[in-house]
Amino acid sequence: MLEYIINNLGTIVVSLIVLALLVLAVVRIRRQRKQGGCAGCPGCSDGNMYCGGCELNQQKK
Amino acid sequence: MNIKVALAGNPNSGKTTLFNTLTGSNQYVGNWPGVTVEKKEGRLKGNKDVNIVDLPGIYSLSPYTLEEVVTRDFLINEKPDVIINLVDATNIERNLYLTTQLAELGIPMVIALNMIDLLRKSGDTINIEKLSKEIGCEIVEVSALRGTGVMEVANKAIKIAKSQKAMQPIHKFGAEVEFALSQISDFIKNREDIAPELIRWYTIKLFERDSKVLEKLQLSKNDLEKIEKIISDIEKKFDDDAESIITNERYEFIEKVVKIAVKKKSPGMTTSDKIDRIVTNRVLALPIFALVVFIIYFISVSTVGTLITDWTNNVFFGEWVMGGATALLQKIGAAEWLQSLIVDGIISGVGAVLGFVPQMFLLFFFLSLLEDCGYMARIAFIMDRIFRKFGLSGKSFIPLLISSGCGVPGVMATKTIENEKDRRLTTIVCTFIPCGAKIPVIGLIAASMLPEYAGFVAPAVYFIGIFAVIVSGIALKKTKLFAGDPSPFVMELPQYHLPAFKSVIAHMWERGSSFIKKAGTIIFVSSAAIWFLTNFGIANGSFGMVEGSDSFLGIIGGAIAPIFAPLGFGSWEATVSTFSGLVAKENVVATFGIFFGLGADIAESDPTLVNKVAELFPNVFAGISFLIFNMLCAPCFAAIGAIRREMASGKWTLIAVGYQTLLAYIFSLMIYQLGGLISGTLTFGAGSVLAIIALLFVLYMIFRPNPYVSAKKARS
Repeated sequence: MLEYIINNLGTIVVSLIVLALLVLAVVRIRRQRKQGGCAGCPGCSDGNMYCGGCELNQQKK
Repeated sequence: MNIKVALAGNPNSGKTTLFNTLTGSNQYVGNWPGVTVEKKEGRLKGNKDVNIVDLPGIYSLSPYTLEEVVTRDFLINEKPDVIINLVDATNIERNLYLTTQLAELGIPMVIALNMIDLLRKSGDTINIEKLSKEIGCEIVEVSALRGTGVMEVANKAIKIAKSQKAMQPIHKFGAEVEFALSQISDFIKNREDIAPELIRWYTIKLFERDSKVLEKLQLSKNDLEKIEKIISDIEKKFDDDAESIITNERYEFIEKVVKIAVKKKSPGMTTSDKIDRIVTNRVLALPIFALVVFIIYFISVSTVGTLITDWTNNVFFGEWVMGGATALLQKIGAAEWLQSLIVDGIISGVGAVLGFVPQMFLLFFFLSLLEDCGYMARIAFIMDRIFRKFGLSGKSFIPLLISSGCGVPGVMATKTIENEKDRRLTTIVCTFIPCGAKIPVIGLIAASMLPEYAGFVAPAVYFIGIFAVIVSGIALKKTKLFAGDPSPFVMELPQYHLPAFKSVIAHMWERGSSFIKKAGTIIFVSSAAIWFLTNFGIANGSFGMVEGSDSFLGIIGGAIAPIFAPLGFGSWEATVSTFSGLVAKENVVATFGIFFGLGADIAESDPTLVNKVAELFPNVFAGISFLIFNMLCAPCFAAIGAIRREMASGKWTLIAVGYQTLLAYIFSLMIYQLGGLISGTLTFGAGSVLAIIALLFVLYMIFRPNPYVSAKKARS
């Protein structure tokens, strides 16, 4: 087992990093959707003025 | 002490610019009326106790538009401590109309006389002391755009708010109207639910028969009859309706004030008028608009845009990122599948989108320039003349203009259209205008299928989008669901001014950076998912890495692909790419990048990807058909969500998405089948028959008589 881990250490570490990044991205998308129903569209950079959900976020803050 | 400051004024009077300066926010500022449709809040820089609220621009406190309702409800129900009334110094008569109404609310008020720099340039002068005396409140000269007088007006507002001195309107109506108002106020002056300082405002609103005030006050039938008698008597005397009587008297007062305080240079044509004589000219307006759009898309997508994109792809991603990642992964001994996931999946997918970011930034830079200088407002005015002929109003064009950046705010902007049928129709058609996310798809297909004419493809797609809007307007307005006259469209054209470099750059960055953020979330996750589904499947009864066509996506895409065969792109790769566009439109390019497993340059300028994509399509018409389908079909999920929110109905959302997809299918079918038939690349067959039927159907829908047009209108 230990030998397998040592032989594949590079693969395991990089896989864990990729997995962590994917989980972080999914969590971020889910959080955005839950908070404002928006998905990082440029609409939000247009001042959050059209997305009712984003307005709601501001009020919550 | 917490102080709530409300920014109120006419549309495009500079409220959001002032708000941004006072709060350090970066809210979107557009040089056309009606940009702000919801109130926004922020804290004053350096004083956290001061809360500033930016309200939508309004011309009056009547409850006719969404903006008026939002602003009025805030001022009446949330009672800010002070109002900063933004008054456009270059258009003082019209702006003071709202000022006279705000003064009646009894809320302490200070006037920010904005655009004072433009006024000085025109040679006109305003005597601040005299104006302040006539209106009855303090006035500060401001240029929100240049930042002059901004903190002075904020400090003055704080001082007035702390003094808690209610605004006492100096303006009085004529004796007969004042007598009527005093009679009406007797019915409400002892009510506990109305603050004493608001009695006069409610009285005037009752005189005007304001429906929302009547509903709120719930007066007895007896009282209502008595009030109605008072109003009717005055109306008979003046031979006018109550609302017009009040309006006329306000303007008489304003005329008097302007005579005292304002000195105008001899009337002549302003620079804006001179420019408008050419730009909004009946004959020249459209060719100028077409030329402007052509130049913007030509420069953004080809020429300068391509140069920057080439460097981003070839040097940045090709050499640095991909080369570096491959070398590093090999050095640490990462498994081949992991190298493939990272290089061919994630970096290819995310990189394909990021490669187009410079082009998107360029497009947003030009769009920001057009907005800031005041030309965008003219486009709405020009298009109103054309749209009206096809049953749509110019009001529908504002969401279309916004959609050229992103469909989500475009769809959201339809909420300002009062007529429900017009609002629904605009919501359905506004995503036909290519958004920034579609730029990568246009760039890729243009380079693959029409390399010699690549620079002309992006403007052409923009005009096809407008054509689809017009065709839909004509056809749908003849159906029961959308029949009716278009809403009236009144829009004030702002003065032209040199764009403020800082705001143009800020606006470009705000819009463009969101694509980078999106690449780090949605595109990142979907690239990994697409790589997995394209490389894994079940072969010989066991799960493992397989060839693309045997993969999960290959099998699913292969099953759906025959639907698109009549359109010329019946391959599983093109089918899956199209569906992946539902996540985000730029995902179409990311998906191609992953499919072809290119280790290096994966954007539109890369000859390998370009060749591979070109091989997917049997002829140039198939490529164009693919492009048009992806431009017009159902938008991304974020935009569909926005449609769902605006329509507030699952049924209408389905109608919208269904119509968009059907129209895209019909257009693509005609392009591929008829184009192929005419060019001789296709022989006559079942597809040709379908395309001819589709063409006849479209022509019938456009040219059939409108069964819902009124007899009177038909005669005229």
